[in-house]
Amino acid sequence: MRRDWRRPSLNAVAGVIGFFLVAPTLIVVPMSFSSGQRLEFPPPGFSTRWYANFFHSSMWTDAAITSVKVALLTVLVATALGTLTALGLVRGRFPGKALVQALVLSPAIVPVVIVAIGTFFVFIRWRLAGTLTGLVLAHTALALPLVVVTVGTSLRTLDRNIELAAQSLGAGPWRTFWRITFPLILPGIIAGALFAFVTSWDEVVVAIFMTSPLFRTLPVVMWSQVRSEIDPTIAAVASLLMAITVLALVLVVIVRWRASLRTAT
Amino acid sequence: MSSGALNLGGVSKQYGELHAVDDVSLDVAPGEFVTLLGPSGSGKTTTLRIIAGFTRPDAGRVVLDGRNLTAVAPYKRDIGMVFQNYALFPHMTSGDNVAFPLRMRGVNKRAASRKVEETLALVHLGGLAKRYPRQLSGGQQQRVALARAIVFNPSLLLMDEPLGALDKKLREALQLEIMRISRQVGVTVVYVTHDQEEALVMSDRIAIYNQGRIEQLGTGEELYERPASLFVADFVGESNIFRGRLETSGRDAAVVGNGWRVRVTPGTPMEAGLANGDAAAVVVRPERLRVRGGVHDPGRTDGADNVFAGVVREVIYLGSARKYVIDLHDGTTLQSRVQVGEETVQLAPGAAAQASWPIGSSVLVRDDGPAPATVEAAEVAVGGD
Repeated sequence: MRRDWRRPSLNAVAGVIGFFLVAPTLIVVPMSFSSGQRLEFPPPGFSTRWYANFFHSSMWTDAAITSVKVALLTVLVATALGTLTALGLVRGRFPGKALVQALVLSPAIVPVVIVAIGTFFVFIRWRLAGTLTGLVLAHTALALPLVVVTVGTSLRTLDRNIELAAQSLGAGPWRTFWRITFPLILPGIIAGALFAFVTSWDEVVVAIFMTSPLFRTLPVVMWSQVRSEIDPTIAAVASLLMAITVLALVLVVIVRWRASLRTAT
Repeated sequence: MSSGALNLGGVSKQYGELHAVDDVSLDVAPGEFVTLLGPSGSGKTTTLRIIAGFTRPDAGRVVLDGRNLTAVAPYKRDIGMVFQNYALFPHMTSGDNVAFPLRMRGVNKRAASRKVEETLALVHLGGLAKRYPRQLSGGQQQRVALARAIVFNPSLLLMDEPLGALDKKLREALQLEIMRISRQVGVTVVYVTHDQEEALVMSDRIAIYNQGRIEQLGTGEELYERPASLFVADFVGESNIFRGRLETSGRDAAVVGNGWRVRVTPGTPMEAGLANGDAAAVVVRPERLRVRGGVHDPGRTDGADNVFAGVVREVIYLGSARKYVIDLHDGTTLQSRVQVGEETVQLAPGAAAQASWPIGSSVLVRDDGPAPATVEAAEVAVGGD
């Protein structure tokens, strides 16, 4: 019965690794509720003043609104384009398919700084640098691979015969997609959309290049604040960013769990 | 309901070097139940997919009730199809699954729900319309798939190994159900299976597939009693196969091998298109073989019978019959199947025995195929009993 000790020790190792991974991030949360003037750990006392400070500063709230706008628009564009791309790559047969696939996935592999610099110089010429459109386009390129991969996985696990059955029963390509394929890959699309949201929401490197003093996202403002004055507002903003990211990822887990319940026989 | 006469004319489909379907022509009469039977990869499923419109043939025509469907999209063909893995829509209830083809045809809600109810009752699933596929057993799911494929009164129903995933008892019950239902609604059926017993039970006619071609088309009895090739003889049922050369002299004809000689009915070489010296094989079904005790001169013929002497190796009790495995002196093996209760003597393993059969029970075929499986291997492939 060697399993008896293996299971608890495996859990212990996994727990320690998990702790090392999240501890540096989680430490920000108690720091954000500090009553002190400086960023310090452990905090001298509890207060919510830095959250109040965040919501009363137009610099922070403007940035938050910009971030939400950019993220939602990125979700919209990346999910629509990514779903179509996945359909083409999984179902389609055309020459150069492998090349197209590599190109679509490249933003996930190429270092972000390279993507940022490249995009920056092109967008300056096109007068897109420092605009909402420009940043949404750049973030869409970063988010697209995630949507393509999650939707592609859903499509690959979808039994092709189900679509063929719909056709033999009288549904043309359009109705087959909307009545059968779409509802069945919807969990994958939602997961892809949430990943796209998180990608844009947290993104700082490309955003630094693509923003202007009048048009800044939360991570960009945080970055510039960290370099000048460090007060616990930064920790409060970081905690808020993190909370929303975690929420999105929890939603991904829930969507996938419900999908697996539905298709289980 | 339209009549459902299907004609395939010279249909071919090639994948790279592989001739998946090679010049197949087939006429199916209205209301007929035709089974495509063959080993896996022999082209039967590709043929079905060509009829359904999922695969475009390289050559040939698919005509249903005089309408050339070759270039028609699957959703405009009005053909019902049942898949091996059911292919039910998992996000819809069984009622909505069955209603789907009616919705696609713009049938109004009231008429559709009445028709759905009727059809579910026909497949004995009344009262389960609200269940999702995952809440149904495999057999129930297949009934939903069948209901969905016939609810819109197609003139042709295609079934691709629909019972392959079910256990033997359920499979046999559903075979009879499918026959009852297809007759009741009068639909033409093209059915694909690799299970020969299933084919024999269900079909009006069976097309035996081999390497993309129809090797023989006929009733189960024709295929079993008068196989047109060594492949068919070997594939349908169990057989004793003697492979050798044809020898004709005057009215007498026999297939001769190394130290043995099997006489065949005079005239059959001509019917099989065989001449003196051609490679030929004789097929004898196990139940045609009589077994007696005692020694007999090897190779001697006894009146109208072929007689072989050997030793009983095994006696296998099969319930309704007993199978004798007999080793001949030259090392080959014969099988005989005797109905329990009709045995004249009981032989034990090790006993000397002679096997005989009337020359009229020998079926002569051209020996053109690759080496067929040995008798033992054929048994395993049959797998039914």
